Amino acid sequence: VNEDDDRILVSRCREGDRGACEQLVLRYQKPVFNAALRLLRHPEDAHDVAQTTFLKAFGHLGDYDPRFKFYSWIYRIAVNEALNVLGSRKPIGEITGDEPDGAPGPERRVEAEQVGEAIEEALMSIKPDLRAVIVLRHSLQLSYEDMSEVLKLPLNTVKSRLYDARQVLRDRLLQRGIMT
Amino acid sequence: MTDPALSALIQAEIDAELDGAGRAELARRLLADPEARAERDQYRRLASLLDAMPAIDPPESLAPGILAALPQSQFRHRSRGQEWRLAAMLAGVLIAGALVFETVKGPGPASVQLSGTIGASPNMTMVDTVRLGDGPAWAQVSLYREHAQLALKVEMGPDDSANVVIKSNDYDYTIRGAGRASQADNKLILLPNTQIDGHPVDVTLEVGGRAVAHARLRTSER
Repeated sequence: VNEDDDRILVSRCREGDRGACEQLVLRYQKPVFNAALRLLRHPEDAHDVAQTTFLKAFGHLGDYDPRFKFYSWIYRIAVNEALNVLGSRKPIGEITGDEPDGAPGPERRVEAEQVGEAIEEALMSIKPDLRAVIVLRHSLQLSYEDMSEVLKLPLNTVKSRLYDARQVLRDRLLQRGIMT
Repeated sequence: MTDPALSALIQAEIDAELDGAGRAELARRLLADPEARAERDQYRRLASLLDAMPAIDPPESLAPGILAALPQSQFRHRSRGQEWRLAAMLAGVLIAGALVFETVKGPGPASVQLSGTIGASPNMTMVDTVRLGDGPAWAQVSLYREHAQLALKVEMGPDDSANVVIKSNDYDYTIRGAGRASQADNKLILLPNTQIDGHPVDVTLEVGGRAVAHARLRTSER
């Protein structure tokens, strides 16, 4: 993504150029939708979050500081919106590191599930703030610095959160036999 | 028991965010400790599994829905009247240019070529245009310039299986026939100039996913 192009498009969109706004939507709808989908694992909620994200972004373009990257700004809105949706859902239980009672054993799980599905399940089983850093890093391919800008967190906090998230995921996937 | 410092080194390496001193320290630990090597393998495997999660295309209704939901008062409207004025002005410039060209040079190239030889218009100038395909699957693609800003106008035939793929340098954009009403029909599409940076614009007409016609548009006037 070319940041200069974003700045031009944002500037034109601010001036009321519908075509520029449309270009921004076409450019960012996929990463925004996918970030929301990974965080929520619910396509309809992800659609709603993506729509709200763009409407909020365009409604507050006057607040956007062009010294920062546009994508950091819109991803921050998307992540916050998705976390709000998660917050309004019933808690699904925090990861304990143990399989729930009555769950099939590791071998059966590996046989029964696609690896991708198991990854998504593992992702959904970790805390939302840990999931968010995994999504930013692995779905949106953001650098530590960009993640820090999106989450408004110090760089070291982002790193330790990402490392913790991966460690929890690794342990869970090892436990399920998805990884050896 | 995982050593957090080792885990941090391994993960920073996977993220390509490890500095020289960190790389040296990690190499030393890996050489000395088979468990450290096993741990690195696990994190690499995890990262590749996470990276491999496929990106899903958003529903086709998403972009039109967003644009429809935006308050129309937010946009400065290029009204039909303005569009007609722009078209009339462009036509005027073309005719004037053609007359000057005919007067000075005598009979010459077709109008499409002439449009590229006319001096810069004070507003938007067509730089190049091409028509691809025939029957219900066709596309007329015209490249305009307004100062440094490039824009495309794409008109397409009624065949919904037709797509127009626009490529230039590292810019890549597809206008889908089914979505043309919301994306391109009779509208100007702004092009990211810095990405195109003087390169020609390649236009391909695809029908049912297969390329059926191709042309190259120039981005500057001759």
